[in-house]
Amino acid sequence: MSLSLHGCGFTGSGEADHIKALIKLHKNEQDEVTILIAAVDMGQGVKTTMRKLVSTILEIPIEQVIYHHPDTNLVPDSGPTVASRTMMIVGGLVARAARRLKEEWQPNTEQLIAERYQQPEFIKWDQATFQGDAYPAYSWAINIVEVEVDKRTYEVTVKETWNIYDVGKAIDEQVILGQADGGQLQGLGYGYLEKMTRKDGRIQHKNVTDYIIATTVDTPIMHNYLMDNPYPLGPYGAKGAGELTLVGGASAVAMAIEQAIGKPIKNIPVSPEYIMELMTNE
Amino acid sequence: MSNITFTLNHNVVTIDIDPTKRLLDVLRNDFHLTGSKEGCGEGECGACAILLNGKAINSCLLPVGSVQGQDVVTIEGLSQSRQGQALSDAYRDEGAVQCGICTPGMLIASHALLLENPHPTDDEIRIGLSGNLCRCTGYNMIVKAVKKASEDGEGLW
Repeated sequence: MSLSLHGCGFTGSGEADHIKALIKLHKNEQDEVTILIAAVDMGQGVKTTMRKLVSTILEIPIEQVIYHHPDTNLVPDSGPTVASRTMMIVGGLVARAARRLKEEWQPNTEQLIAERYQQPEFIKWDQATFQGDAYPAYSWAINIVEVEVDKRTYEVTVKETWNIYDVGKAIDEQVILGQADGGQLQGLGYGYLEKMTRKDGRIQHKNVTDYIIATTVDTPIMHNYLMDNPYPLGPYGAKGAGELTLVGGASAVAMAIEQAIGKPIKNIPVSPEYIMELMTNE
Repeated sequence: MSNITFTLNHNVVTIDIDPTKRLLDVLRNDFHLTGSKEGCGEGECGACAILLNGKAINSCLLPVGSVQGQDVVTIEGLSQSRQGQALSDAYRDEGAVQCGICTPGMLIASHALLLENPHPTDDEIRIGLSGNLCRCTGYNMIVKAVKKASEDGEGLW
């Protein structure tokens, strides 16, 4: 079992001093609202969740909310799509802008609302001494992993996992559960499957033939739960989720294997060869 | 160069080409059917999967000469069929698509599985898709989508 956390947003003074995110909402005369942010949808679903957020606040159909793939000629710089920051920081600004647009709404009139990031007062960070609040908020996870180790071949089967994630508030549960499935499988792989070695500064693996990642038949039965724990400065309480689900899997599976074989484990991945060494040496 | 004649997405086509070229490259570069992806070039990841006479095959390992007289269906052909539509709808509803790079191969493999086994168990679905790697989804929603398509699509397979 592992308990893990991940910071949300850029570390330290990143958001306040370097990124200074700017977002815009543009409403045309047909009352269609375009979200102008730099966030890239690479499959994580930001085009769904950001539109859901705006359509809910403005109380208009989601079909009336537009979000094109960002073109840097057309969108302000809301910062990179990294650091588990998109919904909490950028979405937070989008929500503020949407609420302002709702208050100032004029039907069939072109309107433009802009919002820029401002560091909340209570977040204290000293860049010179690297002390203070490294992040405005953290997301949390508990992963419980059950494994079976074959006593003759030392192969590990991950049977079943039970997991709970606190991302503040899931704007779209299916999107977050998709991250939970994918992140955990990658974390487990990091713990027991994915061997990566270097020689003379070069990675020795060329391809998925020799860098082994999990397939459908390696996937355990996963029980995923989401816990609401709203963060006041996130839209509807949302914190960051993009990186969290990867964090806990490796230690949970390594500790499960440790318990199964009764030998202390010091390295990952816990490959069959490593287990064999531990079991046969004394 | 040789003349290769085969059925591609239900149309008979002929192309004058080096028969040792990989079918994947011929599909993408000569026929401009870019749905099939190159994930590894070694037959390990399944992103290049197409149907050859109804069976899922990795097109990165197939010289185009060997499809002479054969029946090839790519993701572009599959998505126009009712079975392809049923699978796409199920994938959409179940959240089975994230970045999408594995999705064409996954859909081909899903269809090939259902052709052979119209009512698979979850375990049978996992085995049927075990040749298709996905890094984003963790596979669970893909398996649910195939289950849903097989249940909702009664009579399609």
